[in-house]
Amino acid sequence: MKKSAVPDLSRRHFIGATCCAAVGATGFLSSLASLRLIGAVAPATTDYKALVCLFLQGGNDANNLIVPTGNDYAAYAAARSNLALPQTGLLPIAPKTSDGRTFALHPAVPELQGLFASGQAALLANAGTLVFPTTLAQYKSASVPLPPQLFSHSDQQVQWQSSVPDKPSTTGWGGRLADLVNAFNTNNQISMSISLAGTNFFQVGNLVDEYAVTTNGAVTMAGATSNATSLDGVRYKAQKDLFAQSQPGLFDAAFAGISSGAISHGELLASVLAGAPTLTTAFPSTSVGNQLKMVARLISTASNLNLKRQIFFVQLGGWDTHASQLDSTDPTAGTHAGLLAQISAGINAFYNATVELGVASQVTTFTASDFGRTYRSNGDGSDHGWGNHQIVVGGAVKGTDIYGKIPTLTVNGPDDTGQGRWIPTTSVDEYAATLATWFGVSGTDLQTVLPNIGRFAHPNLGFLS
Amino acid sequence: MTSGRAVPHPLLKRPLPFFTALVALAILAWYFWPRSDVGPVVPNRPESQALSAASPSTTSNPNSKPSPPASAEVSHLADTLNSPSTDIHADLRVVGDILTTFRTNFPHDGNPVGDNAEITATLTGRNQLHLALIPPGHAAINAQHELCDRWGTPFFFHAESGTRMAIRSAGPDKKMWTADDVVLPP
Repeated sequence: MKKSAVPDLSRRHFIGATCCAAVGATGFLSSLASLRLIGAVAPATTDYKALVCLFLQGGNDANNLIVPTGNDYAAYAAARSNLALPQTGLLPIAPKTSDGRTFALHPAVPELQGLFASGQAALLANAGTLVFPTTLAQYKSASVPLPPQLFSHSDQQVQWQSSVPDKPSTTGWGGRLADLVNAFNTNNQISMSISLAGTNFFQVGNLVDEYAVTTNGAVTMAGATSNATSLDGVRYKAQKDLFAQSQPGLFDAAFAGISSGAISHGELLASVLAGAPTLTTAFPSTSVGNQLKMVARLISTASNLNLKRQIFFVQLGGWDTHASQLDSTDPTAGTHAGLLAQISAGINAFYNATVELGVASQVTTFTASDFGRTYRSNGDGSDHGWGNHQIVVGGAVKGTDIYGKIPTLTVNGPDDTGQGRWIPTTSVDEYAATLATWFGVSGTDLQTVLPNIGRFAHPNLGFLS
Repeated sequence: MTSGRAVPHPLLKRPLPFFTALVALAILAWYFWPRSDVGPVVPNRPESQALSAASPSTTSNPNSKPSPPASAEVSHLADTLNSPSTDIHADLRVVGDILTTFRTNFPHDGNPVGDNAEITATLTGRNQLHLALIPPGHAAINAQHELCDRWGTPFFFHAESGTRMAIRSAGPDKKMWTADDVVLPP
């Protein structure tokens, strides 16, 4: 009798063979995933690019960053009452495209005005968190889902940084972007995601870790020294030796591994920064100035660390000004003016440093913030709003223009949900997708970074070349 | 007539794995079986209504259409708000407790959102459950539908997160952001 072509399989053999196949498939799928990642960042180039997120924590009142002038000024002054800036001190701008209205910038941002005029800065109007494109009629009839907890600081910060407002997210869009483009960074020795402002949601990814440094550089262990004969040196070496030993438990091993990694990364970065060229560009001695100066120094060392893609996170708090927004005797002074002056001077110095380093067209700086603020004054200041204007700066920026649509600046008008809280006309997804596309993400892989991008009409707003 | 021993069913050859799996299935079924004995309970509400409050996501739109408060919903949480026998600190605790109760009944939504008038509207019944934690005709609500402190100034609600809301009273000088303001949490 002819033997069956199907071999006799015992349960033991079947389970064994299945396990072998599963192990083999793991490697295969891993290879596929790697190929996909590399393919996602088309075309494969050897260039360097960096994204710098400047987060304005607390909610920037950009209604006073971009101010209507001419015939629209009177309505602005009436709506903003005590928050209105005098028309005489405003800094005029001439965007390439116009909807017929004229605008000017806050008197505290002359550097930004200069960057805008020379084509290195653009403005993005009325961007914000959205689940779907939303009109006022849809908002009023509750016919589309809205981002939960609008007007709440921490929720809106997370939603801006995750760009997934409609469901809990464990990662930020910067982290997902890093996961995808890290394929560029072959043999990189430290993480491509570096924060100058501690942990943040924006850079949380599944594969690439956030690496936090300070304005002085790498964070090292207290007393760390290479002087092996000093007491500190002996202790430091003993700690490193302990971490390097084989650990009996999972937690012990994980702790030792993370600690060893932090120590070695810190030592490496400190060493590389010590050999970095001295920047001649002067930075203002402010929080933003110091953070951006360190970002510039880190960019100058990127090639030494085999980094071809980097994402930085910089943050400035204090924007939740409420009653202290303006000085009661001088509307061009006050907390808001001071903060705007700080970011204007800091961004300008940083741009100049990228010119000095020869990477101006490879570094793009962009702002984000919790939300905009109410157009109508509450009598003292402004309250939490929704859509907001943002700033994009860099050599690759198609500057001297306002992208998106500045809302109809009328309280209870067609873009207002009440008190001058503008419904965003550009989603965070579209803003982020434009930056991610410039960073090298292909159109087919945008949804990996921005899962909701398919809901919106403009995955590339066109402000980067 | 058959001879020899009967061949046992394969499952009976090795009964232990079979029964272990059976027990595990039973435990899983028990664990995931829908239970009706959990859910937040609203003060002064029939249990059946309180149970229904736990599930839906209802308040994400601060501008959803007004709904008349259900006549059966009578809350006494705001009874002592602005009472002459208490003080502003007690008032703020009352408003804070109302927000906590609201969150308990809308766990997926967190605090009501918007400005004072929108938050007041939500707390007076403009939500899908018609849950009026503050009676719509409460004396603390002014003509602009804002919830006011004992000096008649609307409270300032500062949404720090979905579960943290700072509540500010302008104090007796009726002027916000001055030294006599009272804030919860302080």
